[in-house]
Amino acid sequence: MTTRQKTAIAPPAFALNRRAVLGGLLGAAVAPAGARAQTAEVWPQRFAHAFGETVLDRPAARVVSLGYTSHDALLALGVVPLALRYWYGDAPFGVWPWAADLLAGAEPVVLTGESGIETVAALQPDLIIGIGSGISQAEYDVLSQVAPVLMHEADSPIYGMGWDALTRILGRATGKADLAETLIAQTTQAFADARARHPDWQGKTGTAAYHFSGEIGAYAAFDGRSRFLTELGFRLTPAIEAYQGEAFYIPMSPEDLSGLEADVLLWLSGTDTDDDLAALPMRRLLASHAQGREVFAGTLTAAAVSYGSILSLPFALQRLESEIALAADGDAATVVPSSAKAGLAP
Amino acid sequence: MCLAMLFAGAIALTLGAGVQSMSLAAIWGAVVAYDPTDPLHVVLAELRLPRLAAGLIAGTALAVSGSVMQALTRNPLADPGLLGVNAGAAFAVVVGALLMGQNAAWAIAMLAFPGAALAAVAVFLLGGGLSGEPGPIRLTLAGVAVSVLLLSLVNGIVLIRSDALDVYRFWVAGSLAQALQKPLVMLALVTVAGWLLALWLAPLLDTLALGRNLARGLGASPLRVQGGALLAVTLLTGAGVAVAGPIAFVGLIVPPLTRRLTGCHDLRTEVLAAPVVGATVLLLADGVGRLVLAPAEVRVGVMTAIIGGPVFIWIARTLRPGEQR
Amino acid sequence: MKGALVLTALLAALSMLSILWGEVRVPPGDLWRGLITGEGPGALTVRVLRGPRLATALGAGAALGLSGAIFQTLLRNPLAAPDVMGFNAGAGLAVIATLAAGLTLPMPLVAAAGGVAAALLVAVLGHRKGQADTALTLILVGLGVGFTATGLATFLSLTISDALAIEARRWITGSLAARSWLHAGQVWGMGLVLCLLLAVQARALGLLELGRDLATGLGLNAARARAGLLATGVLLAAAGVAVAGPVPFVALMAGPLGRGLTGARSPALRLAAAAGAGAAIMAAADLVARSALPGIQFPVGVMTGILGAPYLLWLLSRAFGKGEA
Repeated sequence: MTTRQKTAIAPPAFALNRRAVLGGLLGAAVAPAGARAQTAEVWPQRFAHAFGETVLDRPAARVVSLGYTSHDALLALGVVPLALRYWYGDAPFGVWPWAADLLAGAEPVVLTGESGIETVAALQPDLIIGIGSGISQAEYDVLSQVAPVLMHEADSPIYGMGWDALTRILGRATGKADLAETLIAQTTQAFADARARHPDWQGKTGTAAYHFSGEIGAYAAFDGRSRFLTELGFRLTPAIEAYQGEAFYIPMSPEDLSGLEADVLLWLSGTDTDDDLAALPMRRLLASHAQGREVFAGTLTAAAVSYGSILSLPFALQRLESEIALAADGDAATVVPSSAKAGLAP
Repeated sequence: MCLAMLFAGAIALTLGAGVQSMSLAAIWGAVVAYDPTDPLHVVLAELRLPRLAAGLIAGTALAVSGSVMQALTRNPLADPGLLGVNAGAAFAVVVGALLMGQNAAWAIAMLAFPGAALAAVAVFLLGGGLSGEPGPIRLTLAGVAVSVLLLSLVNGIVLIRSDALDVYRFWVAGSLAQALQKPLVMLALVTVAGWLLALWLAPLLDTLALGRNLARGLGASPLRVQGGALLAVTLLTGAGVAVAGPIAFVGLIVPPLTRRLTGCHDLRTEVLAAPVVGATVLLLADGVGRLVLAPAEVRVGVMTAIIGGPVFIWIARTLRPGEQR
Repeated sequence: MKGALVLTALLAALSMLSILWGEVRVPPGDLWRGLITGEGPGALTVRVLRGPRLATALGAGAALGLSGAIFQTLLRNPLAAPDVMGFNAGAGLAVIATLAAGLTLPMPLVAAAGGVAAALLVAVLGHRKGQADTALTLILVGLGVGFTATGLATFLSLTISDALAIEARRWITGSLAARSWLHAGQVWGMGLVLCLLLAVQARALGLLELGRDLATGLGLNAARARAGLLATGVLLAAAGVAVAGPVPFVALMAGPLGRGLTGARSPALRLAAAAGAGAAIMAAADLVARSALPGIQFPVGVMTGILGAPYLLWLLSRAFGKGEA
């Protein structure tokens, strides 16, 4: 099994005893070849997580990404994973368009279904990313015999680790902590810039809504999709802010969609056309609809928002900024292209 | 009769109750002077009436097909799903939604029906239809085999494609929502056709229960009768699954319930009365589902399963020894 | 006995293939070296990855096969299995409830606990004071518990995110991922203990097969013996599920398959054949699940159904070809 790596780093001159790494024995020598000159990173690095603690004694170069979205952060850091996990969609190698350029011709192994431990072992990685992968403690134990495994933080939900925290950890693990900080700042800045370009968005309300298979509602305030809007300066509606539940979404009855009313109503859809949404009876009675304040995010754009990675969020922002501007301009006459295309326009 | 009152109550629940409760006067107002900008009128016309229609269609389809199945297999535990129809519909829905890249209600309904029908045909053929002797045990085994195969394939697909899983896990719960988007007229016609066929076959099926040779002597060809019955079940279950998704328990419990409520012993009366009972059960379950966790709606398939379980247990505990029904 | 030899040969062949075959080609020489010396590229594959996985598969398959055979004999129904008792439904509900609550516990153990809880519920609800437990009562109650559990599980499955839904589905399907020697030891240990128990109860099983009255006449406390055997069956299922999750159809198929392969007659031999057949099914399904399609790893439960259905159909054609309608 061969894979071409973009970043080739010389393999260690001495045999790496993986059990020693796991056991945290400080006797293992710190490899000078791995240390980046930018800052004095202290190796070995320790990572505390939900399944215990992982210790790396050198920056990782051969990385397998088992998380459904963790490969985005790796690619952003310039590390092409040897293998990555397939989630859904038809993108080649499971890498979505916002990250495809960074792949630059490499062909990582795509793992579908359960994490193929034999395949992972055969690739001889020196780091396995289990954050956002849903692997069990048993799988973690077996994988740890192959290479150090990073898992989500103990108080974070399995799939709920923030894109910035994830990038930071991966930066630390691959010896690119500074690059990670730079990238995080860049993405944060992109949102800040968008906010600055549209000062009128401050104080307006926005709703991130879903419609799937007859279920309709809005995303809760702490969900990344609602935060996408609040990062742009929008407020959430009182109905959403009042929600005290633990679920990441707030369901609404198809008979009363008034909870969705906002200055910008962003529909996140899994398909490019949603005839059922267009035909929703109570949506047509919403003021948000009558005044052309709806934005429709189709497969790719909605996926970018939902993915919520360091690469996908700026991508989504790029595609949605002008749409949101047209929806939020307070002028019912301006047509929002995405809505019109999806048949949602008044 | 008590049944008529329950039926009327179910209709009232479907139309009147919900997140926006409507009085009889309001409903009358909507019928007489429809105003498309009045939210109550829109809810009634575009959400609740289609829901009622879907409930009537699915309730009829499931109840009558249950009656026929139980008569055909002479097994009080026979559920239309045993013929593999639910599995066939599931397979068609999952594969179709994946290939077409969409999950609009209309598309799903149009996939479910042929899927269900093809599975039923396969079960009939594998269960001995070709050789002319499709007995109840053979059919049941064939149905189980086909269901097992198709559901395993569905499982395989949804476990490697998350978008397929999303379509499947919502569809499999069964729902009367989005009824206006589905081809209601066509499915209603199919249901009525199946129901009429069942009515016509009912006395013949009763004769068949006397025993094959006796039936032949009385002029009923077993193969034709069984084939006809399977056709009826296919049409009805296919329509039911297309309208509402795979709903558990209704096809199983409504026939004995009908028999008990009407006190009848022949299949024809049962097939006549079953639609009312079936629709009542389904609409009541749907109504409760819409109220219990409002504004979220609990899907009707989930409600029937949760309600159905204790009903089964209660039946089991009150059965006297030796009593079959 | 010729049949036993066939089964043993089949198991040996499957075991060899399971070690030699996998996602990655490892030369047999390396595997041998790894097995004997624990060094070299084959060591991880044999000692950590494929070895324990095979051992666990064989153990879990045997336990599930035994469990199914016990149920089928006691309930006199070839379609009887722990599934009928709501076991798998309870297991599935426990898994989804745990995931929905955000807990990270070992899922197979959770599944086993849920299954046992469901079985206990069925036993309690199915027991009416002063009356004998009939098979029909138990089946109805099992169906009822199954319905409710499935309904609740479906409801919960709609409330979780799509990524979590994949995990839930994987565990409910049954998975042998990352099995260690600890898991293998656990299932073999529990299995052997329960086999000893079963050996004590085997005579009672034979008597019960003759019929309740005859058994009682021969001095057997039928109700107690039956309850004891059912309990052993449930515990065997739990042992298998505790390491592999609620893998479907193994319990169902092992009994008939074992009997078909070996032609065993006496209860003890039939149980042994079922154990062997169950082990074979599990090993074969796991082999196919992890190496059928390059780059795709299915959970083992997907393949048991796909392998099982053609087998059921074959059973069908054989049985009815001989005129056993």
